[in-house]
Amino acid sequence: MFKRPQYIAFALVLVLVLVLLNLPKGAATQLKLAIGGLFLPLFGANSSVQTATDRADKALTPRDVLVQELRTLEKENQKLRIRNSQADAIQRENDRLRRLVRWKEQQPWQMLLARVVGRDHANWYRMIHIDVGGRNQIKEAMPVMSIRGLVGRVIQVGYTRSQVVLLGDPNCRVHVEVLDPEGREVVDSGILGPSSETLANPHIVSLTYLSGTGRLERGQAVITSGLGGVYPKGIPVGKIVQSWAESDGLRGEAQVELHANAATLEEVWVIKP
Amino acid sequence: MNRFSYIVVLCIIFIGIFLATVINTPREWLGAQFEITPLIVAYVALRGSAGEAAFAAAFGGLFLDSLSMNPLGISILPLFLIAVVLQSSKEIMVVNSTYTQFIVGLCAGAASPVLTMFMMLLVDGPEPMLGWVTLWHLTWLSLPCGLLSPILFKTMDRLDGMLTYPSYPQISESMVSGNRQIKRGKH
Repeated sequence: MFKRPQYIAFALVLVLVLVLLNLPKGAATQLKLAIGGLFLPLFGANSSVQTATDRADKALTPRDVLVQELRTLEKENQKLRIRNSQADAIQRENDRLRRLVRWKEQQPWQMLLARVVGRDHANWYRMIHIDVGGRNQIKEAMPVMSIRGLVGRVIQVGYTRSQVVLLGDPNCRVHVEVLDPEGREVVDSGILGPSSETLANPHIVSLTYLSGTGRLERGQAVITSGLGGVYPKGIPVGKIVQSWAESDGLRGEAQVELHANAATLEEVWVIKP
Repeated sequence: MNRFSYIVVLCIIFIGIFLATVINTPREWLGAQFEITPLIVAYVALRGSAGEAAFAAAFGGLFLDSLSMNPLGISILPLFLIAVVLQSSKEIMVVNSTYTQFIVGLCAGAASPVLTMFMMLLVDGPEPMLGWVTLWHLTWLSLPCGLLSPILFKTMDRLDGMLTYPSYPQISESMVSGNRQIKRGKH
């Protein structure tokens, strides 16, 4: 059934696989990045095509539509400026109070815009590729968010690209807090991770290790707690869909709908500490 | 397999993996992404030598893992096992039949992720997300491979034919009839 060349090929492949799987983590990562680097020309070409398509799309958009869009954006910009000046005043007050009680002052986030250039082709992981890397001072474990909310964190950094593991993946768990329906006080906290539904519906994740003392209502906001030091406190994550107490009554569990839609993400912000 | 068509096959693997990474439409519509590397390795196994199949499996596996969270090298063995099974049974298969090609593509498309998942449970690496929906993913991964298989076989065979001189039967000494030889002698 098997011939000599097949035995030789089998032995060679087996040795190659054993060597690769037993490489030290650092060496395996470097090798992976080096092999992935061969795709750089294709990623570059893809970006160029996307840019050209965007330009063509803009060129084809009627002037009336653009003017209308510009007016809407101007109005929105004015509203945001007013809200920003209000936020600045609150920030100053907050900093003054923090100094009074000798708490460490909060630093504003430094953010870097990145474009999503690819996704993990394996269906058992939730990961995206972004077009910023070591040359942009990106480092592992930096949080990544969209304008809607938290997306995930950087897990691997190449020179020009990085990989971001998304919320809902078993390798991305976050400690979060649940706010009361008015969004003022923290009523519970727990760990956000994948649920049995995440595979079918990527927006739904599970919130476990809740105190279980009170039932959470649908729509209550979920934000990052800042514990663990990876994610800054207060990033919006999602909202409660339903909650229940476990049979022993000691702990509770909830389903959370994520704000950021990972399936349609095109641009994300990397938060630099 | 012609050397040039083998290079073309490797290029298709390379570009196929890249397209599976950047094109999100199948995932948006059906919740799962498919990729054609197992199908191409199956083609190489049926048309090429053991060495060519091993190299295609190693090449495809390394590139698959480099753009994924998979531990590096984990996809090589599943692809190679598909190649070994097909190589060892190609003499008893009607490889040129469309139905056989469909079944080969279907089985290769399903076997590769199943074997990869099995290997991931054995090695230390990032935890994969598995559940009942994975069965739907497997179905979705195997069906396009089955449907694309006859098209790929016909296209690649045609390309191979264009790049290779047609082979004619070799004339051996045994084929020359003995009674047509002119025997020269005294009389």
